[in-house]
Amino acid sequence: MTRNPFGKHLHNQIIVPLVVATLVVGVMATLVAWALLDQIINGWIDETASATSTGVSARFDDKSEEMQRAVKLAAENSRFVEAVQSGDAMTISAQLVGTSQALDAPNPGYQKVEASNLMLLDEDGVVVASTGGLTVAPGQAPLGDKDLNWISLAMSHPIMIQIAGEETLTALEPVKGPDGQVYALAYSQIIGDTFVADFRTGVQTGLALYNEDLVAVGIDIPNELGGTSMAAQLENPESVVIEALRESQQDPGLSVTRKLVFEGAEYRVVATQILFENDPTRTASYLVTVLGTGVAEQTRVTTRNLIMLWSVVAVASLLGLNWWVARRVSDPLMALSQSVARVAEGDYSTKVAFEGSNEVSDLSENFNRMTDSLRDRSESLTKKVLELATLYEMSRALGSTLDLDVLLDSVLDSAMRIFNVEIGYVTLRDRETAELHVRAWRGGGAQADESAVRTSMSEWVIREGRPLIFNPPRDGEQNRIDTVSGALAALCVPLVSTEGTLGAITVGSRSETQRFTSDDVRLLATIANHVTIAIGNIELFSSLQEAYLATVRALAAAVDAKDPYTRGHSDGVARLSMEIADSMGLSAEQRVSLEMAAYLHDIGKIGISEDILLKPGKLTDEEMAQMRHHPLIGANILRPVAFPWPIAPIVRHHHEHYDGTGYPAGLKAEEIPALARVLTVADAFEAMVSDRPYRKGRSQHEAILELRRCSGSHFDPRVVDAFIRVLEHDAVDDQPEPEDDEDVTGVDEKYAVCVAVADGMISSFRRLGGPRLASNLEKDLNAEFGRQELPFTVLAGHLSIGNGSGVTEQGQVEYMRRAVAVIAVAMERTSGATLVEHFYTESVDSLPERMRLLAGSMRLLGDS
Amino acid sequence: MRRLMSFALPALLTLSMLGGCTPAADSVSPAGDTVGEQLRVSGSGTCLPLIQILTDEYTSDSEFVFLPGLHSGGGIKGVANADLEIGAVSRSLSDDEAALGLEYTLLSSDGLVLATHSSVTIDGLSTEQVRDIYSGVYSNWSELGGPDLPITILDRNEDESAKIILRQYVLGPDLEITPKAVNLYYEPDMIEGLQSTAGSIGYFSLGYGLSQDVPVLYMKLDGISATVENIENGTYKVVRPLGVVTAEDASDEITAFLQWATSAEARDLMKSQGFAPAK
Repeated sequence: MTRNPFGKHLHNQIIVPLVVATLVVGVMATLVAWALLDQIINGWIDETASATSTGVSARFDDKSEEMQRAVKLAAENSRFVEAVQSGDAMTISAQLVGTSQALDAPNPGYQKVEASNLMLLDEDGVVVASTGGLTVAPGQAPLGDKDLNWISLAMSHPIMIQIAGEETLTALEPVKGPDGQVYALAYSQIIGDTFVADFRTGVQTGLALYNEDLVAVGIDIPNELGGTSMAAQLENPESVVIEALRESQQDPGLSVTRKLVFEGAEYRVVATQILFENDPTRTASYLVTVLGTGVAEQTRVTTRNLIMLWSVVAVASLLGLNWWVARRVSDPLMALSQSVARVAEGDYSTKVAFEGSNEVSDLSENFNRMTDSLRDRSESLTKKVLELATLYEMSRALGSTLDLDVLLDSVLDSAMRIFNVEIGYVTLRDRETAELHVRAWRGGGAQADESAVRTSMSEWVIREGRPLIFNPPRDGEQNRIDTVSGALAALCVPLVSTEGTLGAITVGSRSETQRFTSDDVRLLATIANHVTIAIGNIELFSSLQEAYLATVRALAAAVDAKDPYTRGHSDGVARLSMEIADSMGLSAEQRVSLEMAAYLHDIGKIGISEDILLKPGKLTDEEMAQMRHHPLIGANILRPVAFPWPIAPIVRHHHEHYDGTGYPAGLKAEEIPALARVLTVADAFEAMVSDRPYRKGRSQHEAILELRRCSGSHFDPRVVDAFIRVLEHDAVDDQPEPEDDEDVTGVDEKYAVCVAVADGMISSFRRLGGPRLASNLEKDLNAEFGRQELPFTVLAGHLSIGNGSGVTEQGQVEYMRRAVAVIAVAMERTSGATLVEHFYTESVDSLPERMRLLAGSMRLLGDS
Repeated sequence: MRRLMSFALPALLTLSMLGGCTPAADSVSPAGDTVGEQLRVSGSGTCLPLIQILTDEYTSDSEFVFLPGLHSGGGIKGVANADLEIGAVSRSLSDDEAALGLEYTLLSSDGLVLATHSSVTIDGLSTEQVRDIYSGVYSNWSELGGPDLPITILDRNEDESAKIILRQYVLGPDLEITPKAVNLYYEPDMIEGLQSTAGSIGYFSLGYGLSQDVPVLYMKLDGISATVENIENGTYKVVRPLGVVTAEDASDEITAFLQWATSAEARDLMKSQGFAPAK
């Protein structure tokens, strides 16, 4: 069975749309998931950037408030206030140092880079004392010429301001100075990279702080985000960062997010303006948050791959499932389709089997039931055909033979074949004695004796004129056995003619499984009717034949009476003719013709004058011419008689010579009727060896020599040879048969027999099985011949023989037997053993007798 | 390779997802559990930097944990109460403290140096001048030949070891400090004030100043520079004994550390960092 599902349309029709759908859905789902993922990741990045920026701003605010609170506390410190009011610079400075340390105290410990500064300014903004990272000496005015009125106001928020060249975040707090003046305590944080670093939240965040002029005053970029090279990028006025800052400058309160691609990596830049609500100077500063998207990108790539992987896995498993489903559907259909194809070719033994209990297995069960039923019907049909064929053959045989024994044997064979039994016999009642005799017997074993016949079922049937069935006993039945054959199952029907019951025909079997039915009775009764008619015909014919023969003998006696010299000549010629006929293997019909012609061959002499006929001594030419008329006269006498056999031509030409020198027509060789040539030899020989009143008959030896001498001139050499064979055979009467049939027969003839038998079998098979089965058979046979290396081929119902040379004759005969055995086996596979025998018998029966005998001796079909 | 990894990664992720979430192993386990004991160190803020320098170089299974400064007395009490394993001390033990039965190990003789903000352009002061500054005689550096800057006097509390030593060697026990001076509580405050306030003067640990490269102006005292050589050869007298106290039944770990801290290797290390090793 072909197991390539892709070669089949249905499989592809199922799987292709599913594969396409699966792939489309898989690809679509993946793309949609990717798009969603991109959206989510981008949203996440933007959210994170925005949140970071907001967080940093908030921390910046917190820091500012903290500074403001701290400076306020410091300005309210009573020792410090005292020192300020004393106006003494040393005290103020020393207290300033102490206050400064207190302000920075939260984390005691050494800080190498001083980033904060505390200074006291008088009403004019001049430094009274200062300590910390700013280099301002007392007496300087670090705030320049700004309007310092706001210093005296209560301030609640630090301002961004440049002091001593440094950008600072400075918280101011008024302090009562000496003489009612209002001094200001200024607490500054120098804004630099370190300051900015305090606000950073993680390694993926970078910060930069810009002043009003968008100049970077503090940048903190972790190495993960590119470190100094990124810092340079942030200071570069050409970059998108500055662009974002400008946009933010134009629309305060708006966070501007930009994408920054730098050194192959992608970043988010958020620019926000920082503007303190209570800053009286209204100085603005700007914060830029740089966010690395590395983690997000990594997440994106990983998730993308994960989605991809799952998609591939899902699509692959769906494809596998598709394939499996398609196989589940298409495989049974393919198997069914192939099985149906085989059924269509005539193989009813086809079965399909599917596991499980679904519609498909139901289908397979129904299919198997269907093929079973088809096979049963086909077999019963074949049987019917066989019956009909056998009946037909039988009726033909009945019409074609006038030999009762041949007829009965043929009928029995046919009947046994039809009923498939091994026993069959015919019982006939003798007309005169009314005793029963078994006339034809088939079935092996010794023929039963008369007493058995007298008590047999045949006797009952003939007496009653009704059929009788014996079947093997079932429970509680009496055991009845046919006494003649010992058959357990037997069927006997009477042969009923218009003149009463002639006898009975019986078929039977010793098998316990054989049972006969009323159908069988009807069938056998039909056969019996045919047989009765045929027996009637034979009896009629034989009485007719006897009547003819009696008439002919009477005529021959009339001739003998006319020519006393040749008395007994016709009888002798008839006898010799029959011997030659036997030797030549002539048919029964030819024999009868020949016998009749032999008796009557000289009837023409009736028309010859007795003077000529009885004249002793030599005849004159005139008389001889008269004498030579006798074959024509005889033929003319016989012509009106409607003999069933062509006797007149034989009589007319019995004086023709093989070389054409005879009379009356001067025919040559084959032109002379075959039987006439036989009669010529017999006539001549009888004439030679018979005594005549005027001469002594020649010896047989001399006669033979004479025959030999004239063989080919006067006589047909084949007839002479046959005759001489008869004579020599008679001479060495009881010598054993010198040679076997097989030995005298050439191998060519055996081949001819074998071919004829095989051809006949194949032709019988074709008649029954039809041309398709016959053609399959030929293929099988040729394959088998090839396999067994037999030199035969079958083409168009004809067996041909290849080169068989180099093999002994016995070996060649063995080849023939094997060839016939191959044919028998092949036929048996298709139609059963009984039919093979039928084919064989039919084939052999149709052969000429000689070939039939030879076929039997060759035992072509085993020992059957 | 990169491509391969980017496929392998999700596969691994998938596997781990399928396999269920194994609790992330908390790889940070308390060091004491696996690598010896935790040694708690605290005490004098002056002495702690020295111990820090030593422990940084010392290889040991033990972990040294530095607690915030408690002054010398706090360190001693801590060891006595078994709250600390090592107490840093930057002065001699008092009689009461010596009676607690603790083991004292002297590590270094640290110079106490007088220093000014870098804006002060003089290179030395005499003992007398120092006394006059701290008693409030001078108010401007110009009076001492320096720039026109008001003098900002930075001082420590009387109970600080630095002040005790300064009184012992320079100021004298009875000198009254001017109220214009400011008392600073921690040595780092002193150092920061000196760095960031123009015209300021103060004093602190020489070893600390040298080891940390503090950008201030070190004053010669009576013409003698405060250097490790001068301390070792005895010409610079203003020194503080830096040492540690440990319990008498201290563990082998501590004993081993102290043995190493007084070894030649440790002495060279101290010297290179500006701390004159103990004799």
